[in-house]
Amino acid sequence: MASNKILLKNKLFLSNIFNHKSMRAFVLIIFSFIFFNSCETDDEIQIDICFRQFVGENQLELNNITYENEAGNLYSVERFLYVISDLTLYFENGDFMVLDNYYFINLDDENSLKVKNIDIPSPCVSVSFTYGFPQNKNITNLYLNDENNFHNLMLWPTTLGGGYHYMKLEGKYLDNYGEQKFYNTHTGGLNGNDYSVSYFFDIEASEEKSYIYIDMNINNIYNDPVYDFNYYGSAIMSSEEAQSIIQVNVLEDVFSVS
Amino acid sequence: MKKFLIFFLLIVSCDPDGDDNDFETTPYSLIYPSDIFPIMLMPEDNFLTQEGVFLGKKLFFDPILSSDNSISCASCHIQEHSFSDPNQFSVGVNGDLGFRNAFSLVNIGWNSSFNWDGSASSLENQVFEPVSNPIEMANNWQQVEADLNASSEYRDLFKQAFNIDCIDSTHVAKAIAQFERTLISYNSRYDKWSRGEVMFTNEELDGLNIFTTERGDCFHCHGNINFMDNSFHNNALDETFSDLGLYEVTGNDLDKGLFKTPTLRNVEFSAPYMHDGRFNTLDEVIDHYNSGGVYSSTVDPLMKYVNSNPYGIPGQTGLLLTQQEKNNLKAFLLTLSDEEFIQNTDFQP
Ligand code: HEC
Ligand code: HEC
Repeated sequence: MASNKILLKNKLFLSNIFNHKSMRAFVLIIFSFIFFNSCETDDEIQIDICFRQFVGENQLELNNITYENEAGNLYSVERFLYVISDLTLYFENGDFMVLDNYYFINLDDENSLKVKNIDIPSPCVSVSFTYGFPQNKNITNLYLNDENNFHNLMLWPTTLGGGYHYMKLEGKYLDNYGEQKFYNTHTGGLNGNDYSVSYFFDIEASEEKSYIYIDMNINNIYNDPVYDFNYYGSAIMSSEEAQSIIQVNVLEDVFSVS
Repeated sequence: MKKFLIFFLLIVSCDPDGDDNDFETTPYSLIYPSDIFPIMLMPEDNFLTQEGVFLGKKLFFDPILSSDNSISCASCHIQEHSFSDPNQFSVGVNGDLGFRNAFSLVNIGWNSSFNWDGSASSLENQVFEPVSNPIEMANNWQQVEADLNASSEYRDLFKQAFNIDCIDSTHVAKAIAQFERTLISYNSRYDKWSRGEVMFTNEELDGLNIFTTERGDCFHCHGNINFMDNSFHNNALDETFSDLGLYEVTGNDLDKGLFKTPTLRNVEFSAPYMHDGRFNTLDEVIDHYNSGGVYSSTVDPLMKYVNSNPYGIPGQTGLLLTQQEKNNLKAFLLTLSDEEFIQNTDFQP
């Protein structure tokens, strides 16, 4: 939205000077100069936003039962989908820009890991967003016609409060007897409660910066307080206790932005 | 010689009878509750018209598409079975058996891929397969085009629907796809309950609860308004695969044994079940899910009780539903039946 506004301003500016007939040829020359040099002399900056996933220090690798949480559970990740909504960028010049309604990150879909070529007016100093959906945007069928099969993959049944999953994290863990079990860490607005989490991060501002990284440390979803797969079992969509412990964990040290 | 003949026929039959600029069709508007059903997407060059749907229906029921004029689409997609086949495997023109169970064709306009392995990406696309498949209609498209062009009735109908003088495979596919998009069901007992028109029994309500919570966890794959998810899964049927499913299309090892989630609308009428029609009754299907199924390397993580159970009882697998709960789940599945759909005379020739 904000980037549209910026574009609009430029257009108005151009059409105003084009009205002075004598100026036209001159302006045309200047215009083509600006046009051909726009990559270098542009006062706008272009950035990408990258959603990255780590376990501890290391980039997430799928399908290996080698990760260990504080409870001592060994686990793997096979599938990971989550929602970041209300993503907002704040700039050095005081402007801010609210990006799309939400971003649907799905490790099976490489395109979902990056938001490309965002034009920003001045270096970005802060970033805010919500993990999941705030309750007023978590409404059954609100995203019925959205792309990337979002509705089908993320719907949260009305029997359990309706709306959409915030996150689907699935894989295997080794139980107390060393046997492989599946876990589905699915979070959402169980029984109409709001378990989403909002963040505000300051980042180092720089003209040179072409990326903003929104990183997740998956292991910390299960740490501090300790989340034990043996205790919560494979399925937690009906457990308010599990939903809140994960909310608390996500609040603390799961996300970081740089 | 045969080739020559066909060629000759085509030339003769495709004689354009002058240009008319007054080509007009009547739009066909689909009716469905658009607040709970997504918008049905269609190719921009094939919006529905009364003429197109009428023609598509005629073709769907016409054995002219098969090599020996013995079977039509409707031979394997039978309306009273929600346009599926009660046989485990369908019989093709030469008496050959296929190796997959025929899909029921209900609300397929909302599907984003077709066939158990997703081998067709649109309804238009899908039509090409059964016509030329040697174990189905065993025909070739030159023959089909020749036969249709030889019929003045079909020439008129294609002219009215598409303003073409020469019938070709593309327009056959377009017409049939138009008809298929009209095969819509939204008046099952479940739909009426959703709209507040009827009350569910306690059994049905409990079945709904099992279906839409992790007690039964059916909704993760069969959760949308058409009780499917436009996606592919291994629902723990087999330890090893004789049919590789989605892998046949993608060649990706992780897709071995994955199949398209079928709709559960009208599931009462569309037995037998699964890609190979291995289960004859809904009870058998429910027993499969209740047992947790069998483990294989690509089994879906959502089939979480394949090697555990919800109560942490050592050594037991599956949902551990009681007999009463299984009955309730079945009672819920039966609410997805739409009698009006299987009797709808609009869908008949
Ligand atoms: C000999 C039996 C037979 C005939 C004849 C037949 N089909 Fe099918 N149909 C099947 C089988 C079996 C499948 C599943 C095939 C697969 O998945 O590989 C199927 C699948 C389909 C599907 C995919 C549905 C979905 O949801 O993915 C559509 C659509 C379809 N058929 C339409 C038609 C049309 C149109 C015709 C006539 C041109 C036709 N069929 C003729 C047996 C038949
Ligand atoms: C992991 C996803 C998944 C879950 C969970 C799941 N299903 Fe399925 N279901 C499928 C797939 C995929 C098929 C087709 C599998 C095949 O044929 O190989 C299927 C097939 C079926 C069929 C056969 C339909 C037909 O026309 O052949 C029925 C009935 C069914 N499921 C009911 C259920 C019920 C009831 C539950 C909950 C107890 C459930 N499913 C849970 C994915 C799932």
